[in-house]
Amino acid sequence: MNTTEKEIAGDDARVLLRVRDLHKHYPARGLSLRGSRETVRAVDGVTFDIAQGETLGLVGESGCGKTTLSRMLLRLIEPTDGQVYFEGHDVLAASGEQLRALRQRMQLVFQDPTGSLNPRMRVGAIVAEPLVVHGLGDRPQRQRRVEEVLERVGLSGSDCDRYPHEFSGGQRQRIGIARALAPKPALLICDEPVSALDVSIQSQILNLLSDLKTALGLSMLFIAHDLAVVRHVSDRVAVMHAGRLVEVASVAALFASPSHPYTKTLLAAVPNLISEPDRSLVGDRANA
Amino acid sequence: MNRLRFTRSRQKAPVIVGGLLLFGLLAVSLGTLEHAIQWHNVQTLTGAIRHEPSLEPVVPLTAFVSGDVGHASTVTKLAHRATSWFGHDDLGRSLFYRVWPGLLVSLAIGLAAAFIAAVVGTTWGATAAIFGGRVDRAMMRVVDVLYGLPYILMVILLKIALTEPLAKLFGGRTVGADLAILLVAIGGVSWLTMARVVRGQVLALKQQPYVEAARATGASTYYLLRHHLLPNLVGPVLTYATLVIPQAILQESFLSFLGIGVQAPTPSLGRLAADGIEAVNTFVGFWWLIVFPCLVLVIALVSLNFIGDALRDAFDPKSNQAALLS
Repeated sequence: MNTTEKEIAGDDARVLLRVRDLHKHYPARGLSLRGSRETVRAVDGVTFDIAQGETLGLVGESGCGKTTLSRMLLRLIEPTDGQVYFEGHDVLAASGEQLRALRQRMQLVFQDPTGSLNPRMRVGAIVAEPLVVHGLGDRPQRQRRVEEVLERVGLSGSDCDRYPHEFSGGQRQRIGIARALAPKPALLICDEPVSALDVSIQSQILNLLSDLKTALGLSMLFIAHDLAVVRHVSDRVAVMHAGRLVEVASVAALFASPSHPYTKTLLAAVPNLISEPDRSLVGDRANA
Repeated sequence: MNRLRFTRSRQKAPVIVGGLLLFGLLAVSLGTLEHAIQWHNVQTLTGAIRHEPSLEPVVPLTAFVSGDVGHASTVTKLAHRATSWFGHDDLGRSLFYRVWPGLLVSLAIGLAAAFIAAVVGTTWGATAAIFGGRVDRAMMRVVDVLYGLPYILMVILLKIALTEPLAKLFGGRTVGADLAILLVAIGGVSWLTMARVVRGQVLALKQQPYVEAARATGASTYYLLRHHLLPNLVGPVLTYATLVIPQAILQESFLSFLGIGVQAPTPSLGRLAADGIEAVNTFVGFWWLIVFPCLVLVIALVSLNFIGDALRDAFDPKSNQAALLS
């Protein structure tokens, strides 16, 4: 753990999000007849930092606690224990207005581009939602901001009056990204934003996110189970397994020499269709 | 936010048919109401007892206008001819002039019951689902208990308990009290299913990613209710409310039979049909006594269903796609 601690410590002044020893335990509802209080440790002592302008990729198999972790950062799920600091504010101690203010600066992009858009709202109203909720600007200002972010994500301002079902999956994900960008967040939490899209669209969305990151100086927590996707967008990668971060390293280091056995297994599981020599995983597969 | 959109010819046809039918029924009912009330006042045993339907009136014009026959207008003459179109009942009353006011009474009861169910059921179910936990459990157990009570017993108890105070409230007139009890009895049961439907719907909606998205950005419960939950409830609530109307109309006839609700001289479609069934049970089939009330009832319910469907589609922005796929 010591090496990983050093890896993630980074430059203190530039740290945007600081997560320390975060836990989420659920009481297990099993077949236990004696009433012994077993717990499921969905997230079991996670510690990491995200610097200003940095993208941290978070990978791990289904059910390893990635989504629970992301929801705890926003207090959509209350953590059992631990600390979260965002822009220097204690997220877990915040309540009411403070929490609302923090949630304005941390926005979520969802996995399911269809489900995350209310089918009964027009695109303009969907994208304006964070602005309305936070009371930012008056109506014409909001309208201008909505058109601005829609164009930013590659849609047109005139799409405001249309309904989500009139768009393709990739376009819907762009709408979701536009909604997240509208209140000018500092951190974008992307929860598997491309795993519901087909491969040709995935790269478009990934490129869009990369462009946005450089253009707006966004920080990102990028959750995925696909290593190739994470490699494409991340600066550093955290590997999560059974509620713990087993390895945090820069992209280059992680893919060149994974140190944890689970990471090696994960890398070996990537189907190797691209025959670029530097991405060859043959060596890893032999090791695993 | 949702503009009503009656687009695509496939959707249009039932709305137009349903709307026209209901409009026609209402127009006839209201148009004949004046004559129905007059006729009700003047009619006596006219000798037309259980007379079968005919195009020619069997009751003399003198019995109908009870005044100067010579100066009767064309409208009055037509109204007179209509007396025999649906036949006469066992007291010689014109069925035509009982069916149409009966439709008005039945529709009023059905719509009132649907309204009660929609308002009380939606409020109850949505509150339970939004608060969840103990509040939810307590509120839904109340619904379960009300479900479990024997319906007829409950209605009779209501009748006994409420007739006196309500009659005082309505100035000694029991007609108002009877109608109020009827609505309480029908509304008191119809909202239970509505509450369950709405609760389930809200629980499902709460899990939707777009609701989570709004929560993640810091939206209040009121905002979620106003912008995400209620608009998505309109479809199921309307659909179920249109189902409540025929149920209420049928329950009304049953309750009237028990002596609660619409009382003897006042017609309602359920009441007329119940009377008709008794008449049909004899050796001679007085078929018109049951056919005409039921025919009007069926037409009214079908048109209401068409309109309910159309309303639901109009509130669903995806319905254009759905209509093309089906």
